[in-house]
Amino acid sequence: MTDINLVVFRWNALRLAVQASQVLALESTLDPDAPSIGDLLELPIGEGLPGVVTRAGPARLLRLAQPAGMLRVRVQEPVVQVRLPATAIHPLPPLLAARLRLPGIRALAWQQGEEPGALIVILDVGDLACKEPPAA
Amino acid sequence: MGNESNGRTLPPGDAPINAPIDTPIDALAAALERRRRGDQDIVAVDVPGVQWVVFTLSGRAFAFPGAQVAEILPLPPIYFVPGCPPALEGVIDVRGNICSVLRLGDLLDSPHGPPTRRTAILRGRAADMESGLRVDAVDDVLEVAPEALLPPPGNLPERLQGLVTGVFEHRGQLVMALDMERLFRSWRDARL
Repeated sequence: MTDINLVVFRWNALRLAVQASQVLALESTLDPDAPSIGDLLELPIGEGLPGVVTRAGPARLLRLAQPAGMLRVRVQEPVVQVRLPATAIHPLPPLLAARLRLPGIRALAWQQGEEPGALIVILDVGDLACKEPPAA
Repeated sequence: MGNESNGRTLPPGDAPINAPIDTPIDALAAALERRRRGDQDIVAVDVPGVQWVVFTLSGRAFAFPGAQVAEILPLPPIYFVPGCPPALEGVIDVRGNICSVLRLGDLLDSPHGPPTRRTAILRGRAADMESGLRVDAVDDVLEVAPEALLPPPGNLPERLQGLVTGVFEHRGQLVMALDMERLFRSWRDARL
């Protein structure tokens, strides 16, 4: 069974991920003009696991490849690359997918041995808004 | 020596044993047979009874057909997924698979009580759709005879109309019977 390489990062209590092949670079230099992943997903501040308080990690900047250019987005540490078996990755449950308001959410995954917060929300970089114009 | 059948001595050359003979003995056999058939009929009345999973929300009793409830789970950790309506509480891990969890009380305008040891998730299946449904407590799993299921009352709250298929009495309380497929379709089509 094929493994999937993901880059996993945090936004408050949420564990979010994109395919590693869509990550061009990870920068420690912060650009205040770059949108945060919370902005792109229109997440209210502090949105995460109900009842779970987490301290926001230091911010990092991810450069993501999009068909029409590049997207720079602020995320929170830890930022790690993980390899998950395909069996750990699931499509969105039908009744969740039917009412989901965010187009950028593509799949869900369990990371074994991680508790709590073992759920990883996998994003589709192509569906994230706020694209920068292609480089000349 | 003659043949004996049911205590009657048959002379040699008499009618075959399996020939129809109208005697008091045969009348008894027929009566016993009727009784057996009657007993079977009594049993048969029970067989078509539908199993129901009875649960409560804010003290109100509801039920789903047992055939639409795959399993009853104690309240597990529920993981939040961003971008969902508030009534979709998140997802749970069911033996490595992912199952969404709907707050059934929110869908039925029966606010949930605080979580207790009796809070449960009903994992429901209907029409190729599946989801967990949070309930305050599961009270019973029982069979209800079809004739005990009465039509839904005309004064149902608007939110329940179209979801309640009937009512029955259980432990002195009126139980509203729901249909999972109608509920799931209403949720999917944003009518809830």
